[in-house]
Amino acid sequence: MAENILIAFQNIFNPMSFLLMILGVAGGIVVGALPGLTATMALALLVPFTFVMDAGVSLMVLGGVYVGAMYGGCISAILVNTPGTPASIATTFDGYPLTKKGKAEHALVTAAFSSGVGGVFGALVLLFLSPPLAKAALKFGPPEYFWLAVFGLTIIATLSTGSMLKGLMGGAFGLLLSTVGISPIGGDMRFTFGFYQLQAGLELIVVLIGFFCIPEVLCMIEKKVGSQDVITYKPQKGVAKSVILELIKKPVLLIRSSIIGTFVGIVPGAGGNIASLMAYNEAVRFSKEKEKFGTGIIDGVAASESSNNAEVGGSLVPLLTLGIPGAAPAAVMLGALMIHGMRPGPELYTTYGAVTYTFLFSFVLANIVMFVLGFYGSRHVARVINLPFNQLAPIIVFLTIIGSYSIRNNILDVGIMIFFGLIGYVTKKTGFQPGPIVLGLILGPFAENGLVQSMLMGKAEGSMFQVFFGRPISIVLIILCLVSVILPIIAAIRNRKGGVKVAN
Amino acid sequence: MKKLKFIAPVIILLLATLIAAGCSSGSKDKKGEAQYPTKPVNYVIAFDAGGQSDIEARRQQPLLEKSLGQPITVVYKPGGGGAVAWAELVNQKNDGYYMAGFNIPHIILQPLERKDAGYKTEQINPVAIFQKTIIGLAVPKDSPYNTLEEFIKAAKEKPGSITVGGSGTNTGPHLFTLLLEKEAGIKLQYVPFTGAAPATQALLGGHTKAMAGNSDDLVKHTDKIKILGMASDQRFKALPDITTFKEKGLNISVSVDRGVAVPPGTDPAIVKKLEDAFMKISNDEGIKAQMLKEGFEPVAMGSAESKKYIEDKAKVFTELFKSVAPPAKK
Amino acid sequence: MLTSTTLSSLAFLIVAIAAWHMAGDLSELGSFFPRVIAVMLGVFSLTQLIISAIKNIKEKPFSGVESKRLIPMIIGIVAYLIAMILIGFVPSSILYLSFFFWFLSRGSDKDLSLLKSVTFAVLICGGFYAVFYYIFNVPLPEGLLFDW
Repeated sequence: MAENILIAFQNIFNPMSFLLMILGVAGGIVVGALPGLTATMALALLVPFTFVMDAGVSLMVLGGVYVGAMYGGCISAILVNTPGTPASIATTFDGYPLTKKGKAEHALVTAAFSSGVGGVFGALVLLFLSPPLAKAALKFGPPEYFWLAVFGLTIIATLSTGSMLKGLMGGAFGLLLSTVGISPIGGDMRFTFGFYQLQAGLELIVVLIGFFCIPEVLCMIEKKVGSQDVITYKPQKGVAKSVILELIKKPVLLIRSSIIGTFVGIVPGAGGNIASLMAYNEAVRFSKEKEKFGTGIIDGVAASESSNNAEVGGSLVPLLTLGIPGAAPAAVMLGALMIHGMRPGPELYTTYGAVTYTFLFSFVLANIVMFVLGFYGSRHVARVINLPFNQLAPIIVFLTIIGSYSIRNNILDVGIMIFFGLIGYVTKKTGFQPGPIVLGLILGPFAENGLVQSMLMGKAEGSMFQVFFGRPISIVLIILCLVSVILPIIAAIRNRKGGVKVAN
Repeated sequence: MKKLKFIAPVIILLLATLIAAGCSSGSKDKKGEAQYPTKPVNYVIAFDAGGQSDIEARRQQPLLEKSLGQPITVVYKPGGGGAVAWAELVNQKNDGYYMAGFNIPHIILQPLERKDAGYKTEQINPVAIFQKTIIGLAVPKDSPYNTLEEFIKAAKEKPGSITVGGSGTNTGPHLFTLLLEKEAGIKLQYVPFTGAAPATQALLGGHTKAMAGNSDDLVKHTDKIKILGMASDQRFKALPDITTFKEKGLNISVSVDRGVAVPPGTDPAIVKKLEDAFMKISNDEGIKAQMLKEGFEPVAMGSAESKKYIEDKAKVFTELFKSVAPPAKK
Repeated sequence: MLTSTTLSSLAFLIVAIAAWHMAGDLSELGSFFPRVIAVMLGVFSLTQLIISAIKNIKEKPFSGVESKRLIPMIIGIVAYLIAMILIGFVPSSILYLSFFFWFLSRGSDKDLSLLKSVTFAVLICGGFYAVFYYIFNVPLPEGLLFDW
């Protein structure tokens, strides 16, 4: 094994490979930043190019792209409130408000640093803890997925700034939206209204772009000419360094978010979107300044970005050890591995050890490269928003059209994006946040599949109770759900008793 | 002066529009089929990137490009178990620049069971079929069942207690499970998952007792599972040690075939050119060996043969579906 | 008391009832989850409806909105989609961008002439199109009307 590690080091520091990896990270960042292009797509596009390269180098490049894309999503999330990839949904909550305050660079540097920290954390876990963690991942069966989804839904409480009831309505609406398409269990067509394209259901990114982006665009131009035409971003000296110093003082936040990200990544099927939302939620829960979240503090961005990059490493854990991808981009990497003849499993670490270790070490490096690129690039990227709204708005609409079409090459998706965009505008104006709706949409399939599959399992075993409440991991998750729901209620009661009115 | 200020930009706009639209469509293709193809050909994958159809297409891509002399653009149109891509396929221009991978029994079962899949089985115009996977029954390595007989015995003792995971409802694995119940006279509990990976995960994690899976997934994990039987007519070449259900007296034969098709009404000369390119790949010894290693059975069926195969399978599956599937509501 | 909250809650309630009704056509397993959610949505909407009917809240969600800019923008986006289906992505994008660069900046201190708008539009459109088509290999809609 030692020789494998030596060979690995030689490989990654080979100038050509290193350069290719940097290009991969850079390319990934660009793709991630464009809403509608996701990490999965970027990887799928690049896999054919890697045929001609040797296995180690192609894995290095693909790993770099994956890492870059996860970070890149934050750029559009921060600058124009549109998650570039679903993993950056939670970054919009505080990232965009920061931009509106003129602190775009703060947000971008925070994202770069947090992504780097999270990514390295995930990469190290991947390197050292894969086999035991993969076994733990297998213990997640349908009941566990169900309770995980329920726990995820409790995040609605955090995201419903303003009215809890409206948040609940939004969440339920999102859950309903998630049922559009072919029902996973009965095989029926649900709510497709005769559009065959809807058999596949509503594509998350399309709805995301609609709900997050279009309302902001409309808000940009809705006021009379001249009242607030542009967000000015003036580069200030020393911003980057001061932000990093501030972040270093919050290690608990970063480590906790990274842990959440890594573990969510390890659970197959749960990806960056869930990871970042959960980490954001926990950041709020453990913070002493809860009210500041949502108004633009770097803690929110840090939590979201560190967890979604940690998730990358996590998603590769079950992939390399069991051949089961932890998230969609990992599935594409599986394809790449298979093409080079590498079968996931113990073989990877023995027969193909040199290649695997090359990949693993380069993965750690890629995160550092990403941080460097982000650190130096933020200043320049942030200037984009200096364009006056009158020009920025149509350009953003243009990009959303491209983005929503490129996902499934489906014109109907563009229509869906616009439809939800307009609905999103109205709901935003009437006090409904997009967060709960999107959360329902994401978690719906997990909840439904988990619920119905568990019910079938219970039927076979003769005991529903045992299936839902009798399994160790489920019990832990149920306790988390209860804690998640009860704590805020207790806090609210305490507040009211103390005479402090909870702002509505 | 004001009028000029307005007219000039409009003229530029129109010019730009025309130029752009012209550029984006590529060169005009002439009617001469001998020159086909003159621009890149779209190869649509009906499933997500990284999946089996994708890997297969990537394997074929360089060889196709060599045979046809034009780049192959791989496009993903996932959704509805493939239905979205196939519905689009039958509505595309049949000029030979658009082809899509297709799967049997999907293209037969989907129009049968869904009110509006967007296409009809007869509309799928096959160019070739190049791959076959057989469905097999698998249990975890530490499962108490070592043979098919033990499995069936246990199912008889406790009807409905053995959970069998598989990908999808009214799909190949589901039909297989229903057939197994019918032929062996047992009652199992099928648990549908959203794909092969989640079903495999559930099996390996001990959440389901058995799994109905494609041969390539089974081969991927042979070190962690026991395969109790394969649903093929003869022993499956990639897994020669596993008995078939037919050998045990159970008439179960379910396979998933992969091929590629073009929109209906495509010029037969173009179809022939594509068919030749795919046949060349199917007959390549290196490719055949690779496929076997991964758990596929290489197949080389041309356009006419594929058409007949689909029709035959359609008859078989329609009968099957009507006899074992629960009656559809309304 | 016909506030925007009341209206939107009513809308959600209607959605919930519609969903419940449409789910009746489905099989037992397929309709279970949607119906449960529809009930939840219905309960939440009804509660919100009742609360906002009782409380007297003043809401002005669309205050300060200049409909002369907002409405054309909304119509423009929808028209953009329709144009794209008919004449293809690139031509419709150029039309959309040109028009709105010019329209939105009228009266502001960065008033763009029609000529500048068109040029800017062509550059942006061309640039992104090139990147997507040649580098990413993602085909963009070509339009039904023209058969090039």
